[in-house]
Amino acid sequence: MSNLLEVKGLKKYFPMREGVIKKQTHFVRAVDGVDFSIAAGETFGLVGESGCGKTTIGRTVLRLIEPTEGTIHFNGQDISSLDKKELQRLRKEMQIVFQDPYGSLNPRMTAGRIIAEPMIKHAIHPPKKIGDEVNRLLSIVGLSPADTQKYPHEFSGGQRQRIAIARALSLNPQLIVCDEPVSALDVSVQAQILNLLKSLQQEFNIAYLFIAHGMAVVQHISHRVGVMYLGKLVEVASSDAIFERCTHPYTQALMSAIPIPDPELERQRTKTPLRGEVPNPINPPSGCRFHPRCPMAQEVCRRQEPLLRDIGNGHKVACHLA
Amino acid sequence: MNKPLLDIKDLNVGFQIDGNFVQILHDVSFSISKGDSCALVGESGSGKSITSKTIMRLLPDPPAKILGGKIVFEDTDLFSLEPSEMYTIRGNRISMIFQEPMTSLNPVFTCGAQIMEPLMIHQHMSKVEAKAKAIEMLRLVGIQLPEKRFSSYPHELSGGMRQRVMIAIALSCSPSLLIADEPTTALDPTIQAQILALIKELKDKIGMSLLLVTHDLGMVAGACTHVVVMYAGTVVERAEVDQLFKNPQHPYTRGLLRSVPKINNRVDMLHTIEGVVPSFTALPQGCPFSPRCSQRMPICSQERPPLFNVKANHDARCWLIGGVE
Repeated sequence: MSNLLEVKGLKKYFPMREGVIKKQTHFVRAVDGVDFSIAAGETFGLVGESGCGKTTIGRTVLRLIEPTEGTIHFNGQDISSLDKKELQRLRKEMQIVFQDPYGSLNPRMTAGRIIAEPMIKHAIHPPKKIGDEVNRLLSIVGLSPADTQKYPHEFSGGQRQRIAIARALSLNPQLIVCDEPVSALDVSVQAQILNLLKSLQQEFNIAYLFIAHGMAVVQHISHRVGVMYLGKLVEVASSDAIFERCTHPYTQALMSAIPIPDPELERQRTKTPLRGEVPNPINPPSGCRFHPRCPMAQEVCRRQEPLLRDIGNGHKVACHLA
Repeated sequence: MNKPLLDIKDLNVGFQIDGNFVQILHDVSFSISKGDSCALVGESGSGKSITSKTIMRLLPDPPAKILGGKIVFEDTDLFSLEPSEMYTIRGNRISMIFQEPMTSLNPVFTCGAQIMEPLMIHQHMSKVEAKAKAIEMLRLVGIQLPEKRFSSYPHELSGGMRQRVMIAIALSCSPSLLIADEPTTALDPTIQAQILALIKELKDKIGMSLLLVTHDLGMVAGACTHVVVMYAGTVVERAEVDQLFKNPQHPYTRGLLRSVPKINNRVDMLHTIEGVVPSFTALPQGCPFSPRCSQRMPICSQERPPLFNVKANHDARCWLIGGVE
């Protein structure tokens, strides 16, 4: 089986500079050796708390940030060694939708212009046809052709996110990185956008790298889910497997932290809130990075780092106790 | 019958915006009994934060104007109080914590000094007494090494710790009502669970009531006994928590409950409520939800429905319940 995106041994260390001469003192290990793959038309969800490196992964995959180490293959081609020109051709195939629909649209451009710009830049349609194409994209994402002349501030948050999605779709990409696309939206609007993303995937066979901090949303939209903690993947499995039999204590904690909108079920649940907070990625704990917060930590967890290994059916987990 | 701790009746509030007067809250009524935890639920622009700020009398007048209604707290009509009398209630009998722990603490004072402040003002404690109490509060909210953290500045703490400090400040005078306005929205999921568990635990310990302002129905189910659902500045439904989740009456409440992704019940496509929350400057005629409602009737776009009683402690503002002749 060939994968659309194949990431191997990905690392990204950000240098920290201190003092008057900005001497490099240490590194923030934002992403520290991550492997995963996404098949065509598949949604891979990345979930984790702030500072776990999920956004950095999304951006390194598009080479908006240069990786420190590791390889990224897209359609069998190693993209980490491409030069600027080749990269630009490739960018047609991979697009991104950001969390903040207020900051990611140019306030001085009309919606029509925002959506047309990538098509003009990459010259994928003759100039005369671009207007029709913009109208077509607007109706696909549930807006009307009359909206082309409006500016971003005239739209609500959900509508702006629809414009950002239309812009990403304009080049007919094979992969869209969705970086927390619904976190800033209200519940009822969130459902509209999630449904839109799902139906677009079915229609155009797009793969998504879907990044979010909320387990419920990621689980809803993804085929497979990767759980991150301090720059490492700690568990990767299908959405159903994560829900039915997640194995890593951190995944279990994330699952039990999701409030269920049902008072009866809520009362029956036994909750074990995690102690402590996410440690500093400049100086991560020894051994298993989760051990200081883990309710089941053993001696071995302090000394030895667990590797991500397959426990059957593609369910991978990095825990000594699994 | 038990007298409620907080009773809000027909609250109407508006704002002066660009020379026009815009009414935000329309006849908001609900009450909280002693020891209850009540959730105020709604999407952005539903008026839930305006309601909580009106209780605290935190809205600047002008531009805000209270057009009518009554808020009675512990037998005192809050609207009849002078600003100086309100000081003795705010932060003392009613406390509030906000969504943004980054900006609601003062960056130039230590955490300890900020916890001591209400104690010295409201409880007339001496510096020494206040310091001892502040350290005790830090310990109570689960902060490690409270003596050391006492002299930390807010920027030295993480978001979760800052929210704990906010809670310590809010609870220092043992208020009888805590208003928590989206207290966990800015925090990570595991920290959210910690903070919510802490608020619940301290609520019972201190014996206060809670008004939890939130958009997260999951949080409501786990933490509250009563729910008030707001839409476009009105209360559309209010009920006890089990009743509301099992037997929601208003089409908006039903839609909202069905549009949340649930881990225990996976579906392919989520239910959606079409359209968007209306702007306060262009509220539709009649029921404000009618343009988005799938069960709309002719009367809905003509006349604003009153709150109809469904059964004991359960009301909904919808013509479907009142029945039309």
